[in-house]
Amino acid sequence: MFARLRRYKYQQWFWGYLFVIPVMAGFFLFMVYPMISGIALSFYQWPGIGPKEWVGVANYLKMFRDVHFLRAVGNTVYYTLGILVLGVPLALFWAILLNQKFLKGRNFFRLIYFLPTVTMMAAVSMVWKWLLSPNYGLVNYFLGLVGLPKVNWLLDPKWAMPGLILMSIWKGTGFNMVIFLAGLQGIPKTYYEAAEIDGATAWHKFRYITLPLLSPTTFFVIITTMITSFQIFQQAYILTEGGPREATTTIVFYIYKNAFEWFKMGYSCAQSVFLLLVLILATLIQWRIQRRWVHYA
Amino acid sequence: MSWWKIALVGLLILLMGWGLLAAQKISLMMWGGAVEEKEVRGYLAAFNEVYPDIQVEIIRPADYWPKLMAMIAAGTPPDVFYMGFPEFVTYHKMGALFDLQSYVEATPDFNTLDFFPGTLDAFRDRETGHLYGVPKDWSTYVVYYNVEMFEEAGLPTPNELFGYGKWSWFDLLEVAKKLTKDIDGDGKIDVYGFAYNFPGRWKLLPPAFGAKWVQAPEKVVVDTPEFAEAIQFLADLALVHKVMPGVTELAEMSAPDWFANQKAAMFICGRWMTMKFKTLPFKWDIAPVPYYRRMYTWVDLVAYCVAKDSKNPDAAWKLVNFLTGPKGQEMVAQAGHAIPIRMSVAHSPAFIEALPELGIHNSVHLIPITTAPITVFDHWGEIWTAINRGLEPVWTGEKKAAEVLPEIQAEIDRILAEG
Repeated sequence: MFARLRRYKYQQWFWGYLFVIPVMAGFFLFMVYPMISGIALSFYQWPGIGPKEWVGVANYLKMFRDVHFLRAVGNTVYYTLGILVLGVPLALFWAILLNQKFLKGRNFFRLIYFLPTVTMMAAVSMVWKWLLSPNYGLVNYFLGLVGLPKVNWLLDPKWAMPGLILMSIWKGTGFNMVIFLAGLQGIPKTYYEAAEIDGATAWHKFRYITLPLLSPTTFFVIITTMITSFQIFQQAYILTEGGPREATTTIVFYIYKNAFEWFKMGYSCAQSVFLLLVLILATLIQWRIQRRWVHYA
Repeated sequence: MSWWKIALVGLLILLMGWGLLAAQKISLMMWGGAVEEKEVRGYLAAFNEVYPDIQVEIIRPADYWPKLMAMIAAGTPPDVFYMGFPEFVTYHKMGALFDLQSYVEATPDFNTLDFFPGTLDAFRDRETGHLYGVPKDWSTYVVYYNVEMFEEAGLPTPNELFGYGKWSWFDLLEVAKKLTKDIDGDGKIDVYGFAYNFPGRWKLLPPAFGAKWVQAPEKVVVDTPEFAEAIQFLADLALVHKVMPGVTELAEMSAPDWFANQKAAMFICGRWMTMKFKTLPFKWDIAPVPYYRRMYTWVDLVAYCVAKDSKNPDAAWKLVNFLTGPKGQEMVAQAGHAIPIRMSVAHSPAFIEALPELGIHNSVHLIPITTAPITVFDHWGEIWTAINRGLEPVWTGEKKAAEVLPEIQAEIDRILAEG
């Protein structure tokens, strides 16, 4: 046996497999196995400990009659759309701005915009709770300066979700900006020079050079932002506790409630599987559409 | 003997030695802040004077319940852990708790009669009567009041009013009106008569107003005139009478902070606030909670439970028995975060005269308004969430209590029907 092992030592595939074993073991143990058992659990009624009771697809049927779950789905879609429509263009705008050669202290500003991404959500949430406070908050103070009425951000069911979106954009846009910056720097300067000689305006250059050549980056940013937005939890947990009137109860927040506060493990697993399917579907649709607008150079 | 045999024997000896050592090592999982952990370390130091060979490791996770559930599910539960009386029902049903009955019977000085009536029963199996947890301490809600503000206004204190038999919720309202002030005359109230975290703690009022809303584990009735009256009265303290910070004001500053910053003259909460208020720069005291058709106060009750899968239940029981025994309970009395669970300690100077530097009436907690906790109903967490959510429009004044209660009742019935 040892002799054989000794012989393998000189073969490349042996080392290859040896090196990937730790990663694959971790992947199967901590990703594949929990995922499969999660899917299996979604067919049971189970309080988290003790015996499980097989209920078939009852958890899935219940989900679609559960008004609170459906509201959570609506809230999550609202949040995701908010981030995609407002946050992604903003990240692109900052990236283009901070990519300009004439701007002094570009690196400093890049750092400033990226900083929120690496700060802890718990700390950030506490600060934003104060920023969004109705009477003493800075956000309302600035709204007042430009003559807009005060908004009861986190207490008004209409404004709580916009408040969360505002904070999440502040927190997450720096990350997307860095990715856009990398994409922008990958576009060869020669295209712009050629366009300038032909008399292209700044808008033309943006529309016909930057946007098309940046589209693979944009595609990546949209997909990853969509996936992380669908999983929004911490902001809702710390800032609003899902309220007021369920206005910020998102899918993952509702899953958490069901699993750890109401001891409905099986039901919460079914919701997780639903979330997984929605994300897969949304990503597949994006892959389909990308053929029409993403240009790989 | 070859080298690997020697190594194997050595390893075995090492394992056995480690096993022996580990046998006397147990874990205690708790919630609370760093201050509470310091208290518990003090209790453990006293425990180790009696049992020097039992090492107790403290676990204080950030999110207690998910962590506890994960540890139990993984088969490596903490040996001893905190358990609230509502959660007890769920965890006992799941079979996660150790049956302590044989230990109780084998411990002659345990003396079940020394515990406040009803507090042990909250942790018994409903059928066999076996004990699955020993209450570690408990707390009743009381009124905290700013003595200096009452003196300044020339008003009798809540304790005096209680003595005169004039301490109903409506008396509290009248007193609060006199203490609510707009000092600088800008139309905004600067000092409120009363502050209370009512969206989370409305539970204090309905029973006092005569609502018997928890009738059985599977029967919760909120759609009654008494319940509506209680909720509406509470909401109107902020909306109509403006003697209490409303929802928006509470978002700016929490209810205990309104009191601690001397911006509210009265405040209601459990005993643990005494620990927080110890260092306040003004004189304060505690008084009984107001009554109306009935006397009622909320009871919070927490037990030590031993995990069914504990590797060392003997040592775990020794710890539980010590902490809930006379010695352990005397330390609870001194700490100021809860009431001792043993009547012999609670009625002794150890508790009555605790925290002498504050000069507060600790005995207020012992007024026998109620000693048994509320019946734990099924789907506990989900139903509380449903009621709290349903009451939100009442707190903001958009709807009357009587309007929302039928909807809440329908939701409760739906949840309970799920079984």
